[in-house]
Amino acid sequence: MKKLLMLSILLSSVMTWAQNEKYVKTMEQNIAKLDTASTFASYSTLANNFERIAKAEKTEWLPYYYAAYCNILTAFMGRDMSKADAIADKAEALINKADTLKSHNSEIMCVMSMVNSCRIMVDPQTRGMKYGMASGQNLAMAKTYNPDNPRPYLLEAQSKLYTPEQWGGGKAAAKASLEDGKKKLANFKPESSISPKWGQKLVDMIETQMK
Amino acid sequence: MRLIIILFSLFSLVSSFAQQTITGVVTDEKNLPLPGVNVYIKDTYDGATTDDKGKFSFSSDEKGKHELVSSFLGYETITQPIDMDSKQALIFNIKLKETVNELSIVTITAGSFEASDERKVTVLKPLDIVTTAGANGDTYSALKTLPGAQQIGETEGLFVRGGTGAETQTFIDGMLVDKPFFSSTPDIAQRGRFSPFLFKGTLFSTGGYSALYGQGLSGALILETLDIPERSASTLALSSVGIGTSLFKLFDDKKACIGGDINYTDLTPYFALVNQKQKILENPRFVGGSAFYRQKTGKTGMIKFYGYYNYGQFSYAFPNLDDPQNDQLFSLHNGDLYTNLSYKYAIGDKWSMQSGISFSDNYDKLKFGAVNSGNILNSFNVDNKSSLTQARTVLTRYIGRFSSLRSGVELQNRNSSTFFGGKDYSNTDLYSALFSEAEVYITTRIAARIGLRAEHSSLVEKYNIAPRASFAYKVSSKTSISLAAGQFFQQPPAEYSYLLKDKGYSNATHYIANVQSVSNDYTFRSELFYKKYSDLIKTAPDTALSGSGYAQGIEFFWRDKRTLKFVDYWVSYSYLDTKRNWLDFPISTTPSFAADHTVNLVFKKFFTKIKTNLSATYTFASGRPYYNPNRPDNEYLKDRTANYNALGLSASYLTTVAKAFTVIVFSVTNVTGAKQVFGYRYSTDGTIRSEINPPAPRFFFIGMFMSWGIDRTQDVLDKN
Repeated sequence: MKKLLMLSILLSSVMTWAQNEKYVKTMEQNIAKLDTASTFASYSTLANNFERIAKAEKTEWLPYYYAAYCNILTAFMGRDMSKADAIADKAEALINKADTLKSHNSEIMCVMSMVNSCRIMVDPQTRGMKYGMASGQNLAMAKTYNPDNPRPYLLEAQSKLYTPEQWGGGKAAAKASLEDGKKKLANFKPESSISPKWGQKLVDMIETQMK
Repeated sequence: MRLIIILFSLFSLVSSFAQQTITGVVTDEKNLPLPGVNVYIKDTYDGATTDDKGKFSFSSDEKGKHELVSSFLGYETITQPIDMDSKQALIFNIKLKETVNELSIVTITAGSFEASDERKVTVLKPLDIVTTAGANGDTYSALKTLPGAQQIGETEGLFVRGGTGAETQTFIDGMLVDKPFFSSTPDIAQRGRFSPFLFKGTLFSTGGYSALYGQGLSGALILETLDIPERSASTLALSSVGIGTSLFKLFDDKKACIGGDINYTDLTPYFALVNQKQKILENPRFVGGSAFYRQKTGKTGMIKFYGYYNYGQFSYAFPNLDDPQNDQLFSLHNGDLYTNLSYKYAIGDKWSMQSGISFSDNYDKLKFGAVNSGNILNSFNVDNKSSLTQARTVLTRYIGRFSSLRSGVELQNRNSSTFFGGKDYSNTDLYSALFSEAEVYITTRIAARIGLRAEHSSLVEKYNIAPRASFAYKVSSKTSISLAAGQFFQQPPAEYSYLLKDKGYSNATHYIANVQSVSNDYTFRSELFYKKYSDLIKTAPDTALSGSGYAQGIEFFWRDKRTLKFVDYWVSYSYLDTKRNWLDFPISTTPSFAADHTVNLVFKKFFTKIKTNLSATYTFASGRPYYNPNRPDNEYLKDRTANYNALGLSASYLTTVAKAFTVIVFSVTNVTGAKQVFGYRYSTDGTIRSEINPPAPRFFFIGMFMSWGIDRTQDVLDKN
């Protein structure tokens, strides 16, 4: 009887440990791929990978976060604007799910802001005001939740680059946000091996666009 | 030792080496490969994304019975059983069906142009109305650049497909607007009363419209007011013609808002600078304001109130062809009140209801007479008063995912009176209508809308029943064809009611065939129509409903936002063949408000560097018939005016002034100063005539619109 009890404790702890290790390992592999991804197909494959993990794990917010992030990147890369809204809907559902698992999170706010920016892209003239404000609010919240997170500053730099000066955008404004973001990125310590740490690619992209 | 063995065997259980490979192809309904599909075993990490050829392959350690999921954006997710213990190779050929939603199903487009903020791809966006050059921010002028509308410059209204301006009615939140334009003045077209910024949706129908609306023989302009705005704001407008300010405040929970504006328009300085054809006795001056309140109630309800009042005056003199010594006097003092209260809510998933009441009141104090160098020699007054009270309720029952049945009732009480020569000519009409319309989606590609409208007017003392039907078939994801047919009734103007022995309604039957192809980047549209008029009012030889007529033609519309960078342009062409015999026409002929050919070219470009939006509109219309009393009856309206040409330009510069988002607008109509003649006015003996044309060759406008938004980021942060 005693042995049986021990066995069952052992069994469950081994299972949990193995499961947890599998989760972290799979996440790490996919996050590593995220660093080198550049094409539409590579991001959409990663989006699918993260979504599978999210659905299998159910209670982890990070796979939902990454799935939303990869999806929204495909929307930005896609040529067919008519699909962008549908992708944004999907990304929004995923990031909202992440938000219910982990509320008041700076990283989640960043992806929410990207979803709103994506909506603007479809029809800037009519949607600019509504979603521009929403996107700005998301970034403001992201900064409050974690003042050391570089990503809201980088996303702000990117959106300022595309915003006319009279709405507080322009190159000079973008540069200020970019510098803040770069400083914070250099000092940023991710919480774990699978926590968000992206940003360098965005820095490079903004810098090329600024030239 | 035993424990170690157990541990080992457990390990092997957890991470088994006996893997199974699952392969296959995913295609759509047309057997075309679908790349990007997520194929996976439910609740596991195991899965793959299909490649360009729709192929997938992955391995899994899972054992036993599972479910294989195939999911892809825009397609229905498929779940099928998979037996991981199977001895046979696990090969799956999966076919996915496209998801249907409101955006992908067919829409009935025959006869109508829609501009809405909603996500569906429409021909126009609400902003297009205010950024079209030559329109000066007037909804009606902007809609004239679409096919189907005539370029009538001497009087207000949308003259649609051989119809008069009175044959196109305006509706706000479902309710008829009695006086949508500023009061008429001879030879000068008036603007619409309502700012285009009030509305989130504009639907302009040039025929075959829904049974939910009535009393327009030719067309309908269906406007839907905005909901709750995103943030509180205040605005200030300064322009060459006046000054205005508005304020609206959002309540903290974003569930209600209140706002209003006041405007003062005075053309005194403008007329001092730009000479007008008319001799101005009293400069046009208008003072007005509006207020609104909107509130969400419960989960789905919305209450909206809008109230508007405007007072205006304008007096001028113009040549009297029968009396060269003296001029004719025209003087107008007008007061106009409009209110609209509506309530919309859903009852469960299956029902929704929209109800509204509206009251409007208008008076025109007119003065006519003779003037000599500014002195009024003699004059007489005509006072027109009219009011309209109405109530309307529409109940919608949703059937299935997309189909619906709408039924409703409408009541209108109209009082009109004309006080002239010591006599009061007044009349009251109680109008009621019942309507029901089914919108049925037979498949997601085929839709039909079948409606019936029954009306009764106490002045006409008769009922009418108007059937309407339209069909649409979606040929491909972007292209659809639509057909529409229907009966449309309209009461003859009230002043004829007393003279008519046999009362009734004027009638038009519409037949429309349309093909439309729309994507985010371009729109192509062509429409063929035939309209038959009967029971039009005749005033000679007798007053009777014995007039008739027809209108037929073809129209094209092309809009392209992609080919030229940062350029959005559209071209519209209308061919119209119409004849009618009504009023005092001796024969059936083309009326003075119909040009055979009309072309519009609208061009918009945003120059990012200089932050300026440039817009140009060129309009051409072939000459219109005009009345020449020197012609015999069989040559009635035989003469044609010269062709009409107009090039309008407008530039808007975006900037920040005093922390306000500011737009500085400069616009000019008829830049080239092309001579525009809308018709001629003859002396009674037919020996002298004068041109009917705009008060000045060009209209210049310069304005500055400032808006201060109240950023609510901090509020949102505080709440979280």
